[in-house]
Amino acid sequence: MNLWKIAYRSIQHRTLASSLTALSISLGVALVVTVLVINGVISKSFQQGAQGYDLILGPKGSELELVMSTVFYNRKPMSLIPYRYYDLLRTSRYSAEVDSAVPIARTDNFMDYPVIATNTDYFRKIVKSDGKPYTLRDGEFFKNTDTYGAVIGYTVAKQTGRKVGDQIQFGHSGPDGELHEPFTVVGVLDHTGSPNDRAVFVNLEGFYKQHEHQQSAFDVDYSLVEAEKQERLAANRHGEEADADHDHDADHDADHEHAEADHDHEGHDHDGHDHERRLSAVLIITKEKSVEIGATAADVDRAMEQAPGVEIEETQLVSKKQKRKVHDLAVTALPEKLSGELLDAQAVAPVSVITSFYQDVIGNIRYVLIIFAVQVIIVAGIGMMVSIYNSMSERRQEIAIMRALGAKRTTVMAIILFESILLSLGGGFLGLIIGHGLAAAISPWVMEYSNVLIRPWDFQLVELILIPGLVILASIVGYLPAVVAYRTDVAQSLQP
Amino acid sequence: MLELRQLKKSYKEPDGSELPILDVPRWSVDAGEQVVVIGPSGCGKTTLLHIIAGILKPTSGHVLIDGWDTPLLNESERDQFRARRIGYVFQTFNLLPGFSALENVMLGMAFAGKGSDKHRAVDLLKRVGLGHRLHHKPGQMSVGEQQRVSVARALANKPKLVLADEPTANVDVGNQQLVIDMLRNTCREEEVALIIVTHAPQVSEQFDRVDRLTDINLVAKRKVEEMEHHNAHAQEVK
Repeated sequence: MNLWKIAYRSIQHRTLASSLTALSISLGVALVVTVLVINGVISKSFQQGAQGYDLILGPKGSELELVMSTVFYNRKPMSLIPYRYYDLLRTSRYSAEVDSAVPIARTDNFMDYPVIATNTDYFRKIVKSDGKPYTLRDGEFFKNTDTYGAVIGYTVAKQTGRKVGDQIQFGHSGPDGELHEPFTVVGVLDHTGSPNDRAVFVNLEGFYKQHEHQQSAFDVDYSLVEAEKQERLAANRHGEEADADHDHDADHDADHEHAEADHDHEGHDHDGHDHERRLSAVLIITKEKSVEIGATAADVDRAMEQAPGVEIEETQLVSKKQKRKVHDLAVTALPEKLSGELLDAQAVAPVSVITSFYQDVIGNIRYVLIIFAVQVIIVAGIGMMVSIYNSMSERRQEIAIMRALGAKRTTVMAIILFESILLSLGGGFLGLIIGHGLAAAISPWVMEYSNVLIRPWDFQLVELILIPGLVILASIVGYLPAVVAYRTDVAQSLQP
Repeated sequence: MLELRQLKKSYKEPDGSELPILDVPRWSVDAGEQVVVIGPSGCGKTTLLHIIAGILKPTSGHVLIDGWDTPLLNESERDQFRARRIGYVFQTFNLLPGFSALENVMLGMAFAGKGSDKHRAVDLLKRVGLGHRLHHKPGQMSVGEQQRVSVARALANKPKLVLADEPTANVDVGNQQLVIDMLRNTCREEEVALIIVTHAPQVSEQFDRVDRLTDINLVAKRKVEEMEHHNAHAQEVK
């Protein structure tokens, strides 16, 4: 029989008091675990938002506001950028850095779900957080020719009951009191765990057609206002220059083809039509650069100095790390280039904005919650000390018996410390189960409202700190009762 | 086996004066010998056993057990010495309530640092007639059974000396003789010296050697003499 078993038997003998003591510890630990799980959910939901593209080109102003509006759709844009910026990004001027650009017009809500007008590139070029392309639960993605086609997110379909073939209307009624032409759901997205689950995607062309008919029906005016005519003239000059370099690839042609075919506005030519339109943002996927194999570190450095825009022979690739460095530098330099050339626009890297926002705001809240939870554990630890200390008066005789049987002072002290450690570890494990159980219980609710799938039984590495932490806490709080045991007067305590 | 020489024990009174409890010029017990020590209450019986066991340290003098002068050992060494060479049977059994009979017996082994010998613990419990009560806790056993567990526990580490402090005082009459018989028999089988302190004549009369504490302890002797003198004086006054 070892000392751990002796300590365990002592705990067992005081089942009720021991259980209550362990429970108080477990509640503190459960709180810490819940905070960690929720923190993981928040962190994940933030990270999942801005995957699949590198930069957002939007109106000048708050970077955070632009990211929040574009990534999380949680507010309507305060200002807009001209549609021609989207065209400009697809010219040879940016061909070295920009792989793809996807236009976005965040507009009114459909039954509290944000409506995003975009084109087919959104689903063809942008990938999900897991690196896989968007997939559909039902139907198909709208084609650029489906002027009034719409794809709805997983949650929208689930909550509203809308399915393929159903119609969707949003915005206010026009001056004639009638709502504009509805969009038809052609596809329902699979669950993504991102804000897109709660979004409605409509064809940008259809959206513009509606908007041009009934401007007053929308909260945000996406048509060009008179005050911007001067800027338009300047932009046209820019556009002409750009048109000279315009590499009309097949994809681009297809995009414009339908616009011409569908466009029935009098007096609007193709160019003028696009330039009257505005966007809330353009999502940019940057190109990945590569350098020649066998390149020296100096070559890589030189390539990086030249980037963005540096053309390097793509014969064979050097290490992924070097590739990544060059790529990252291109992404880092592109916002500056764009901001310099497009005076009323800014390009921001959403990941860095989200990360710094997360660290500045959510991160601090997390620390406050963890500190609070640790305080709960400490209070529970003090409760454990009081409980063991109080039990010492009735246990003096037990300790004296052990001493009379030959136990050293240090041995009885160790037994009390082991008891304290066992209680706190027992409470700790119970707390882990309660904490994760709580996470399991709330996971359907979190899934419903944040679209983040919680894996409640996934343990985080930081939880391992709890175990040595509890052992240290138990050793500290068990010390006082252990000293009482150490000082027990055997002869006196053995008196019948 | 056991020899007490010039043993003195006194406690400090609140006023700083010394209150003598024991003054034993010389007293000894041979290996395997069974001795009963009798005496009135308050004459220092339990204190004597505590000093022999090393639970208390004498104010002065020698306690020689198996050649070791235990007061010269430090506390930790005395604890270890007690665990390995001395068994103790208490008046109130002093079994740990959270442990089964078997665990109570093995508890003593755990502190001796020799490792637990479950077979010996089971064997001892069988010898005291508790083979069927191994896993019962003290609360589930009669007082007689509890004291028998206490006897088995005292012998667990194959001691050289067993000290029994009023072992039948809290046991029902039916079990008293059983406890004494088991204590004597097992000590005889294990060749262990036995010192029983009691004031029960039905116990003492069974032993060949019965020592009066008033003969061993000069403090107790003086106390008895003073009391007799006081009583005689009271008679004269009457």
